[in-house]
Amino acid sequence: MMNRTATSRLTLERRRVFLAAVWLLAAALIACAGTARAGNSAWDDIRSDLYGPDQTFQAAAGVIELEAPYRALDASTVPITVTAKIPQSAERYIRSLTLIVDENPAPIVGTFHFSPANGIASISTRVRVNAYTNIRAIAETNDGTLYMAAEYVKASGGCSAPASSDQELAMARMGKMKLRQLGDWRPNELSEVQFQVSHPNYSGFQQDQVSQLWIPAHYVRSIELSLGEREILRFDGDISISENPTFRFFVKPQGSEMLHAKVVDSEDEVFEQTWPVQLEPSS
Amino acid sequence: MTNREWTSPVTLHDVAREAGVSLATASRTLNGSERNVKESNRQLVLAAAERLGYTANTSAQAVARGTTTTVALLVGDIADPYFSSIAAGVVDAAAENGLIVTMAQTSRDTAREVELVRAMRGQRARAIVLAASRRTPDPHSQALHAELAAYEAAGGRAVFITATDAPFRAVPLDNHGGARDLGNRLHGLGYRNVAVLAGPGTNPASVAASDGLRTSGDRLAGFAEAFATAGSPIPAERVITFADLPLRSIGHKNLPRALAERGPFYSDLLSDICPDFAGTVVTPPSETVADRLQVDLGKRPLRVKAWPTAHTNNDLTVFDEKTGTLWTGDLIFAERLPTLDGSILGWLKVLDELLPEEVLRIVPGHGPVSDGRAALANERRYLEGLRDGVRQAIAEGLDIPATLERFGSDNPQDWQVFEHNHGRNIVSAYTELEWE
Repeated sequence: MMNRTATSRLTLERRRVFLAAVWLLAAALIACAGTARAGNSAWDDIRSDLYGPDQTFQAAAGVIELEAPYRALDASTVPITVTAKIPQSAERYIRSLTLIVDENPAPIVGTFHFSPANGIASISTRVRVNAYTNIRAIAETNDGTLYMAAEYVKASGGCSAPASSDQELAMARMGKMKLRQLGDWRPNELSEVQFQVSHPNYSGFQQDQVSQLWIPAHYVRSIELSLGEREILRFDGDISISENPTFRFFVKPQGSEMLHAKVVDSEDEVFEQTWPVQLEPSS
Repeated sequence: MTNREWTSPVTLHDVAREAGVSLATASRTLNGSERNVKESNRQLVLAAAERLGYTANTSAQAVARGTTTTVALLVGDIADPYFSSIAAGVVDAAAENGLIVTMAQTSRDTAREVELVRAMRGQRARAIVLAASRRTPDPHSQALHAELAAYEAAGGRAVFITATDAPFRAVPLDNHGGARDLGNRLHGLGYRNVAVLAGPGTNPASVAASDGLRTSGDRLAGFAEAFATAGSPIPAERVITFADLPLRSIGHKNLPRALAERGPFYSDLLSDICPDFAGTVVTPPSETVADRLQVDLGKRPLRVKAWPTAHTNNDLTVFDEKTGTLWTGDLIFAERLPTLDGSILGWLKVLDELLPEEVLRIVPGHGPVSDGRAALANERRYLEGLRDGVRQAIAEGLDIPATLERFGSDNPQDWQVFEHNHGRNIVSAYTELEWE
């Protein structure tokens, strides 16, 4: 899905922006009447595109839980957490998690790919939200079953809001990465990690008021993280992830290994970095 | 259509030859002469004209007859709704009388108006309607009157829309009386402190019909007369003339890009606030400042300064040396909670330099005018607290929701609109400070 040609998809997305603008106005009028609530029509389209019209989804209870703020404080940085309720065992594990923001011009935030090496397939990240919308997390387990959780979020303007408060700084820092081990890491125990890459993640939805040209989209397309020889997270993304993509997730380190990150953006620029992970002696 | 029509128009000669009649017969038939043409010949001529696509040469007719079916309309500015509504009326009336309107624009230039009248004379316009506003004094009025007199002597008709002292027909508008009625009405409703935004060319010093655009002057004079008669004369400084001033809009060098990025968001926000605001257009500044700029208002120097990223990445201040007044924009919020869209560290640095001794008074972006010292200290306290708290949370490994939970609701300084913006400030500070 994410490998469709970028150009045709962008054209489509831009068209959707204008539609989105019309809907925004309509939504504003409805809001005046005090009955704001997003319908399901956007989701029907997205579902057909992504999974086909006949796909069914299981209730997420017992598999994943989605946390999103009911009212987002900053529409360009809306924190989202998906907590897995089943451990990643070789027999049964969550293979992927797809995040969707129904009313965004590019609704599919991206897909995170997990493996049993994660121990648990929970993840926190930050997304842009362009309108009052449902946010969905769809988990696919290794047997191909899909589980969906949804939350309603009030926010607006995340995709056309400034990508960066300081554009020069954002460009100068592009590609810089940060890895943070949260808490003590012990061999074969669940350990939390935060990965960040500095990138403006331009949405392509800002228009230059002087030239009337669109400021071109420039965003992170994929992130691959591996620990030793094992892939521990792969993300295929799009413009709905916030500036400076940030992920918190879990791994089960096996020893003193190297953590490697490879980031590719929409201009085919590649950024790579490697860190040695620090382990506490096993208790 | 055949090529022939494009390369050389069908003439009366062609029609006569095609119909097999004399030129005089063809002419009498097609130009509506009173003299009789035999019906069979008339039919031949009409059929030939139809086949060849003949149309009368109106320029030639004008030469022959000394007039045309054209009415010339001269307006000041086609884009100005005042003139377009006049034009609509003229066009309707002309159409009812089988006339065609040619419109020309004087661009409020009376020399140009004289040229246009001369050109319309040359084109044998049947009437000339002069709708462009009159200016007093007008150095070209004599030339204009001479052209119009010659035009009328040759059988043309000139009509002014608006009152004129010139000896021509006029459709006078009672600008003076209308404005006086408005003034009386407002005064009667209890209004006493009024200001007038006057049109181009009015002279605010005299508060009277004077130099400038006569329409504006008449209206201003009528309005002022009503208030003066009622005992509440309008002081000269309350009459503001803006349209003739060269307008400069000055912004920070980062403002155009910031407007480009935020423009759609602001537009959406505005139409959310009120549907009537939909369609608001973001206009970029006409000049930008990268560092400093001195603006000369005539013995009143203003110092414009562009700051590094602080409240936003496009903060600009204006300092009036004469009074020691600094317009801080949103670099200072007094009483109302500061909002962080730029850099918390940058803002704290800017606060160190913002109020040197020469600043005696500030006009903040939010809150009352003051000497600014207490307002700055309050703002610094808030920003330092935000910085230290968020730094600590990041060091402890708290994520954004946990950080919000820890600091999101404590408002010891009693800021206004705290609940709207404090959480967003935390998110903004967090995403900056996590890259320290």
